[in-house]
Amino acid sequence: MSSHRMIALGLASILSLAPALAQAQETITVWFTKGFYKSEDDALFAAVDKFQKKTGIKVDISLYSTEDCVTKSVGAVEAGTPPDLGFCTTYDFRTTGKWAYEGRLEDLSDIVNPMKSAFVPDALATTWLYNDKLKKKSYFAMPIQRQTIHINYWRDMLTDAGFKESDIPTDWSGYWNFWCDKVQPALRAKGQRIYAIGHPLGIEASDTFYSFLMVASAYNAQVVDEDGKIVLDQPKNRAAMIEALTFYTSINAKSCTPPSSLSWKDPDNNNAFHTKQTVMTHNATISIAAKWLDDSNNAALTPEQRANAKENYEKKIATTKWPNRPDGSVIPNLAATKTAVVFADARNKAKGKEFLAFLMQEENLRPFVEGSLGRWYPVTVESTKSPFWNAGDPHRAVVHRQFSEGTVPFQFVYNFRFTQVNAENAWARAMQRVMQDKVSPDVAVDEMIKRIKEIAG
Amino acid sequence: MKDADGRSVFGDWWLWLLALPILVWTLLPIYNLLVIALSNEKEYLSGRLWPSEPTLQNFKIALTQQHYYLRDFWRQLGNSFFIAASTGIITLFIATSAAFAISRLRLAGGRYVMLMALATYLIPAAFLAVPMYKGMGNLGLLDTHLALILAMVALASPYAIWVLKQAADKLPRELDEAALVDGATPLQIFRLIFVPLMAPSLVAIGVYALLLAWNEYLYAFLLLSAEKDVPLAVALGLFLGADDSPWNLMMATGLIYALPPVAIYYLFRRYMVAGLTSGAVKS
Repeated sequence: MSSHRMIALGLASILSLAPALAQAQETITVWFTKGFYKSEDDALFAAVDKFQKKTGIKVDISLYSTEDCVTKSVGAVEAGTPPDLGFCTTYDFRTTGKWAYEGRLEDLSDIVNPMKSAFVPDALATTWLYNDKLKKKSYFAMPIQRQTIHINYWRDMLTDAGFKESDIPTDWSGYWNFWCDKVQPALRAKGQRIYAIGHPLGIEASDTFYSFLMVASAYNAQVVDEDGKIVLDQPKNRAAMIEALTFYTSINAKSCTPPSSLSWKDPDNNNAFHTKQTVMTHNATISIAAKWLDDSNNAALTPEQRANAKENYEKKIATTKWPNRPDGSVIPNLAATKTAVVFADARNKAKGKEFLAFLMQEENLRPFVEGSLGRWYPVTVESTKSPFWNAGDPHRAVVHRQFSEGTVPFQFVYNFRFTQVNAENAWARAMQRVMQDKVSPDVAVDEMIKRIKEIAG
Repeated sequence: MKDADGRSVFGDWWLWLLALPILVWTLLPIYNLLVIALSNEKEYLSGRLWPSEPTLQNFKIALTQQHYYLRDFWRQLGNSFFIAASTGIITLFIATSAAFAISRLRLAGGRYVMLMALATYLIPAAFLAVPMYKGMGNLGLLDTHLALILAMVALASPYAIWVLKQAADKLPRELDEAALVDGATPLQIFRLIFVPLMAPSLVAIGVYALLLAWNEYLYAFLLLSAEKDVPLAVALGLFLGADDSPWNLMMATGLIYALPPVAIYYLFRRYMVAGLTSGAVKS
């Protein structure tokens, strides 16, 4: 046999053996978003350990950053090699509805139905999705945790500006004008290079559309009805959206937010706040406060840094809900439910579902959600009653109150194509048209409506 | 002021006028990286030209793996070294063998191999990422270092073959003929004549492939999954995805990650210039 043929045969046998070797052991592949804190991942690993010991199935778990997780999942789904179970914290914003529609997800009713009464109804409703292949609606995703949007401000900076917390108005215009026209000039007069508001305006930030949709809701700009039909082009809603866009961009026009906020990504409003470049910011989750709680227990920091972090968490940073609408009514809390999915093309989807069912047990899910230090709120009624949310923590108490008041979902729950609208960030693009191209808000809103209709109409 | 050749250093003042802004523009991001890496958490976004209280704490945290995102720092740095070194060695082996076969042994169809090598550069590497991912999945190689090494070798080899073949063409053919007259086999010519004479080009190409793999993010992110298996470049991506990114820590780690390529470049820069330009002009 010639050396060439020997090499060719050797290569062929290696390549043919590779898949068999990879499948020799019963293993499930699981992809999750990596937690921001050790406690979050530790709780997940503890659940994995328990499951492995109980079933003998090896869980091959990989953790990715928020954006990488969904990017990698999309690539794997397209390539036909998805994991057996996926949980990325932006699936709901980007892909869950679309994947369900295209028939790429397993029906999870057999796990959901027996524990249906355990879920908070708002959370469960977001996973009742339409599969166009099967022409039916069902639970094609599993609710894991939730988020809503809050406002954070520095109490010490407010005091430094000569104001008390009781000076903060609760009406819409008064509230925003207070920060821009009173707090910012007062601190600038003391020579501080600060901006009053950390106002996300970047196209790449999900914070931007989260905040903007809260503002749109404040102005009663309805985008879709519950059947998923676009109603933003109705004169009443169009006019409200113009008002919302005018308000949202006015913060930048008044130089009340750092100029860099036009290109901010999700971490940037947090960072500007932490370094006291801004006095207040709005943020989806209480990750801002939670960072200081985490630092206060971080052995890598000096005792002074830990003490400072504790003081920031307990005393200096305030978490609040949003002010009232311009018409004086309360703005409903816009909430997103983070979803786990089992992929239809997965190699070992039955075992993937088995692990998901195991993870959903209260004793496994609760430590995972609470490990996030309050960033995520539970989806089960039992977990919302946990002392974690009810023992007087200054930040978690606000989160708990906001969720207890009731929530409203994003548009993509009614019309999954809005995941594409959000991915394109049609909202931020309209802002950029006003701020950078200097077009009027009504022109920018008309362009926005046109684009939304093209994508989701 | 005059230089060694007696020319006025400031004689070509307009060149300085052009060069200075370019120099500042080029060094500014590196300077910014250093300033943030040396800043504490209160100051890293303050916009100061130099931190009021410079600290090495960020480097200490990275090197002692004390931050949650850096708990596998040394292992991931080791992964980067292993993947980059393997890519460099395998690429060198393939490209040297190919260049020798095409240039010195005048392999039939060698011209077409060269044309195909050149053609691969018409397709951006990013376009091949998903097909490569699918291919590695079919072979059961996903989540293994081998997958990434093979992918990087595939990306580095065409350019490496092209440069080495051009460099090989410049070696006097009479050396091969003399060796043949003395009874040398092709393997002996390869080992005793070709490789020693090609040393500068081999070093340059080896370093090129090594740095290509060292700096790779997309393929590493796609082909590897387990946190302990990824190179440090991918691990650093975690900082960008988090809602609370400690930029000062990320910059300190980034600075550490940037040092080996700089050291390698300066160690071999004599060969880099000579090697990469040796095939640039047809003699």
